Amino acid sequence: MQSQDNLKRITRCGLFTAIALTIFIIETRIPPLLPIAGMKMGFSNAVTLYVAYAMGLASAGQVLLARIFLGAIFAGQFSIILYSATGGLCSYLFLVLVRKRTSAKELWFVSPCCAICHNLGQMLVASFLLGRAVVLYFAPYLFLMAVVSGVFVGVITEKLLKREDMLGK
Amino acid sequence: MSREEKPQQSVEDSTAHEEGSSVSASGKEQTGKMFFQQYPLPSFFLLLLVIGSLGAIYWQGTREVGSFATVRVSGEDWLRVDVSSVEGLEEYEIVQSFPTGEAYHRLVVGQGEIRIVEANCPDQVCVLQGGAVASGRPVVCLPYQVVITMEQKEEFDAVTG
Repeated sequence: MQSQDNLKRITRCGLFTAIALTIFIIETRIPPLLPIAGMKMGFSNAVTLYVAYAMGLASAGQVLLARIFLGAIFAGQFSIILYSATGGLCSYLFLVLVRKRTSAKELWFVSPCCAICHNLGQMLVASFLLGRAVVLYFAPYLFLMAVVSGVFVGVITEKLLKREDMLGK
Repeated sequence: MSREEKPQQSVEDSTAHEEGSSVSASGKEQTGKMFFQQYPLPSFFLLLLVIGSLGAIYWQGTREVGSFATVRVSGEDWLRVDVSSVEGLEEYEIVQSFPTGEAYHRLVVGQGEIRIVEANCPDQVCVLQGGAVASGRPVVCLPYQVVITMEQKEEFDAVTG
């Protein structure tokens, strides 16, 4: 029984990784909305949030890690892994802090905060790698995007969490 | 769903109600409306962030930084040039080799700006950013760590001298 539950969990993690990866790759292939370095819609975060609230933080971390690593390989620019890994780590740490204290109803706010943490981590690495804090110039644009797409992703995730049949329950 | 929450909203104080309406007035998604009225503090935080960002963008547009451009590749100075003193057009090429392949950027300097006109990356963000100009807008290529910043004369001389 125990091993069967574990098997179920691993299968679902694999499925969600595939979904997140697909969204991630499609997003890198879409021309950027605004020519701002580091700006993305971040729709693949919806999968991380969904897994965190439906299956737990550990599964969410595994899905996130797999998505970042495979995403960097499939996107054709492996150097972006430094940015996406640090950003992902920052937003995951924030998620660990707030997961126990929030429910799916607060996702519309948790999601933009995750996006902002992601941006902060990304800007920190970029300042370090580029030797200068030039990316701070783009910070207001990134934060605006974080709020708009973050709220959108949060609301979508909340709607998905209401549909319990998605997990095959 | 929203019908059930209506009695709650009327109980809430007037400041929370104002917040929700002002956020939705600033062009946010209508689906968020009921959340904003239910959580005044988080929505105030997001609203503050949006206003602060818009203010910062406006402030960046009014600034005058200087016409001295520095091109940095992988954290090291690669080229320094006074953009306003260049006559005609000057071209430069940056070629970097990585384990995954070669990265190529072609720069053009002239007419008060410096920009990347060609790059062999898939997203072309650095090309689409346009020129780095005197108002301080930089050009950044994150994957291959190419950065063009604009500075004033004093800062420029301090580093070169």
